Amino acid sequence: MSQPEATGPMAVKIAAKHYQALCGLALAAILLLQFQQSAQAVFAPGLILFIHALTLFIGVAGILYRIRMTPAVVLLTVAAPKVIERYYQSQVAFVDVRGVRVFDVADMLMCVAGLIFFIGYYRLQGLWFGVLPPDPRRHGKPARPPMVRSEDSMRPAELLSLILVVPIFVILAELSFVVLNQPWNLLELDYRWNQFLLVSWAILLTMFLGAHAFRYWRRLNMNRMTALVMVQDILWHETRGEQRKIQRWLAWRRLRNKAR
Amino acid sequence: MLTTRGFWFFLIASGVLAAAVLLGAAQLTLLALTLLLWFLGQWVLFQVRIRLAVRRLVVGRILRTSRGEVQSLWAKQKVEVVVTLRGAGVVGLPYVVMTERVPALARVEDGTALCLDGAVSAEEPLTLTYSLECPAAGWLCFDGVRIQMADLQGFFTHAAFLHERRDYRVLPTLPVSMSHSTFVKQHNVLPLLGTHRHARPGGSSELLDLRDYLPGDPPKMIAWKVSARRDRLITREFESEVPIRCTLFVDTSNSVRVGPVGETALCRLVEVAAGLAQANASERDLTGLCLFDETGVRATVKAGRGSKHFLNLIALLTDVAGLTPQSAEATVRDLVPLAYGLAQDLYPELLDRDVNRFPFWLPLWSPQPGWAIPPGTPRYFSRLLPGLRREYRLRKELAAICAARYGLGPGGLAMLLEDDERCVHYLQRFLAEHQIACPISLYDDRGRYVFAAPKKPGILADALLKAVTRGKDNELFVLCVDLLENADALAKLERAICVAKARHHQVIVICPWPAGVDPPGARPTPLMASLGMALLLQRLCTDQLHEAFAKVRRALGRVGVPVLCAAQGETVNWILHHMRKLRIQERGVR
Repeated sequence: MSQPEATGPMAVKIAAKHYQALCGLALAAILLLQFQQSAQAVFAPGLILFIHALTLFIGVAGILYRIRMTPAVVLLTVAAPKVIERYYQSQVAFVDVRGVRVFDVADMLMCVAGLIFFIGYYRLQGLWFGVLPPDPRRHGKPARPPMVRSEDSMRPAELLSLILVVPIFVILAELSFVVLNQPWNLLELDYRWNQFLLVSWAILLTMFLGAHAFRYWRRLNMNRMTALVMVQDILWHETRGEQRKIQRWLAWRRLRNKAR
Repeated sequence: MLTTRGFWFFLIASGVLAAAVLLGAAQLTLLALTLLLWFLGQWVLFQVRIRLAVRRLVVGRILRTSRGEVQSLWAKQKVEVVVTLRGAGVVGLPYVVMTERVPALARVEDGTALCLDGAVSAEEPLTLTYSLECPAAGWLCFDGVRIQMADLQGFFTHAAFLHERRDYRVLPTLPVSMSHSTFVKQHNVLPLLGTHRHARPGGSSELLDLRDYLPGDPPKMIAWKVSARRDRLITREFESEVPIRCTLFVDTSNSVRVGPVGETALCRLVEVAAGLAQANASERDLTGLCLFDETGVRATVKAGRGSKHFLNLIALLTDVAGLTPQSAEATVRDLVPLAYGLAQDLYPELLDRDVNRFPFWLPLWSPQPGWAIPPGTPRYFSRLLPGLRREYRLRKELAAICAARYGLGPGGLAMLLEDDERCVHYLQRFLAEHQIACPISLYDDRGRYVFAAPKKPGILADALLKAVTRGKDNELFVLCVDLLENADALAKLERAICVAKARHHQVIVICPWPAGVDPPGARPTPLMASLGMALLLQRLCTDQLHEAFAKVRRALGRVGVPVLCAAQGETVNWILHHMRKLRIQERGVR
C-alpha cells in the first residue's frame, strides 16, 4: 500500500546479496593477506594457520547464514595471529616498532578490506536483524517489519558511498599512525605505554569534546517547549528542598480542608 | 543514542587497538585505528545529520475521498490518508523509519502498514498511504509522525516526533430518507410554513370546518354537495400547516463519556441528536440545542432554522462527541504509566536526561509523606521498593512537562510532584487533549457508581423549565439523557416535565444504552453453573441496568413521557420512526 516514491524507470535495485558479495570479497582479501604474512611466520605456524582457517569458516558462515557475533569474532580471529606472533617475538628479543613502515601497501590493503568487511557486514545485520533496537516497551515481543530494514529502502548510492569513504579513513588511520609513532615522551614510561596513553587520551578527549559540542549545538537549536521544560527542571533542582516543603504543606492543607 | 551493537563494536575495536599498541603490532594497530576512526566519523556524521536535517523535515498530510481532498468527513466514511515526509534542507537522512500515529477516533483495518522506512531527502520523500474510517462523530486529530533515524550500520539511533497537528471534523452520519413525526399545535406564533397541523384556517389539505359563504371567498372552496343539501352556499375551511420548535437536551456528563473513543454512549446521543436536527431541518422546523453535564449547562443554542444554524448545531455536537471522562477518583498510579507512554511517543525530546533529569536517590531521601497523600490512595510502604522509584521518576518527568505545558509557573513542577489531586487533574487533561481514555474504575471501594451524578436530573429539570418559560407556543423537547443511575432521583425532573406537559409541550426521553449490553427486551443469558465469573457478573450488571431502565420508564410513564432506549445496534432512523409511532398513538392523527 505504501512505498517510497519511485526513483525512476532506470533505477538500479540493490539487495542483500550485493553486500554479501562485497563482504565475501573483503574476507577473501583479508585471508589472502593473512596467509601471505603467515607463510613467513616463525612462531607457532600451525596454530596461526588454524586460526586463519577458523576465520575463513566463521566469515563464510556469517556471510551465508545470519550470525550476530560474526564481526566481533572475525576481528578477534584476525587479531589473534598477530598478537600471538608479537607475543612470541617479545619473548625472544625486544622489538622496537619505532620507524616501522608507513603507507605500506599490504597494511593499507588489509585496512581497506577489513573496513569494507565490517561496514558491509553491519549493513547486512541491519537487513537481517534490524537497524533500530527493539522497543523496550514491547516486553520481549519479536520485532516487526520495518524494524528490520526493508530491501526497498536500499539505494545504489549507499554502496558507492561505502567504497568512497573507505580510502579516506584508511589514509586518516595512516596519518594517525605516523603521529603516534613520533617520539612522544609525556611521562617517564615505556614507549608502548606512552603510545597507549596517547591513544586512550586522544579517543576519550575527542569523544568528550564532541559530545559537549553536540550538546551545546542542540541547546542552541532547542524549541520553546523544550527550553521551558529545561528551565523548569533547573529551577526545581536548585530549589528542590524548599519547594518540596512548601508544596507538601499546601497539599496537606487542601486535604484537611476537603475533609472538613 | 549509541545502540548495543555500536557499543560492542567500539569496545572490541578499542580492546584490539589497546592490545596492538601494547604489543607493537603495526598492522593490527592500523586496522584497529581505521575501524575506530571510521566509528568516530560515523558518530560525528550522524550527529551533524540529525541536527541539520531533522529541523528541516516537513510532514504533509492529505485526506482523500472519491470526491478529492477533504477538510472534514462523515462518520463511517472511508477516507484515504496520504502522509509525506520530505527533507527541506541540503542534508538528507540515510535511514528513517516513519511511523504514523493514528488518531483514537480512527479505525484502521488490521494488518495495514502504518510505518515505512527508507532514505529521506528533498528529492526523495517517504510517502505512506492507508485508509481509515471513523465510527462516530468527533474530531480526528493527527498529532504528527514519529520518526526514528539511524545510520545504516545500526550503531546510532535518534527518535523524534514531528508535530504537525491537523484536526478534521468528523460529522455525524445523517439518515438520508427521514420520515418526520407530525404534531398538532394548539397555538402558533410562527410563520405559516411547515408541515404540522394547526387548527386555524390555512392552506393545508385537511378539512377544518364548513361555514357560510362570504363574498370574496374563492369559488373552488365552495362545498357544492353540502351547499345543495342546505340550499345555501357553504365554504370549506382547511387547517394551517405550521412549523414547530424542537429543543434537544443532550447529556454530556461523564457517565455517557465512558468507553473507547468513538464507541461511547455520548457518540450515540450525538448521532441521534444530529439525525433529529436534520429531520427538523428537512421539515423546516426550528431546532434548539442545550448541552449539559453534571456541573451545569455547557452551551445553549436558541431554536432556529437554515443551513447555517444547522451547521452550527452539528459543529457543537461534534465538539462534545469526543469528550473523555474525567474523574477525581483516578489515582496517580493508574495515570502515570499511560501518560508517560504517551509522552514517550509524542515528546521524546522532553524526556531526555539533559532536559528533564531525575536524581536517582530522591525517592530514598525524601519520598512523599503519608500525610500529604489523599486517604484511600494506594501507597508504597517502603522507600526501598523499585516500584516507588520508577513511579517517582515517571511522575517527576511528567510533572515537568505538564508544568511547562500548562504554564503552572516556577512552583508547578513541585506542586504536581507533591499534590496528588492536582497531578491527577493535569494528567487527565494531558491525556484528554490527546484523546486517550483514562483507565478509570467505574465503582468506588464501596461499590457505588463513580459517575452517578445525583445532581444531573436537577440540572436537566432547571434547563427544561427555562426552556418552557421561554416557549411561546407548543414545542417538542427531546431529552437525550442517561438516567439509569439516577432512577431514584427523578422527582425534580418529573415536576419539570409536568409543567411542560401542562403548557401543551411534548416531551420525549431517549436513554443511551451501554455498548455490549443486551438492550431491554432481549432474551437474557440463562443462569447456569457453567457460567464463568465474568459472564455471571455481566449478567448481573445487565439485570441491574434493565431494572434501572424499567424504573425510569415507570417513573416518567406516570407523567406521560415515553422513554426510548438508544441501543448501539439501532439506527437513528429506527429511533425516529419509533418516536413518530409513539406520537401518532398519543394524538391519534395521521
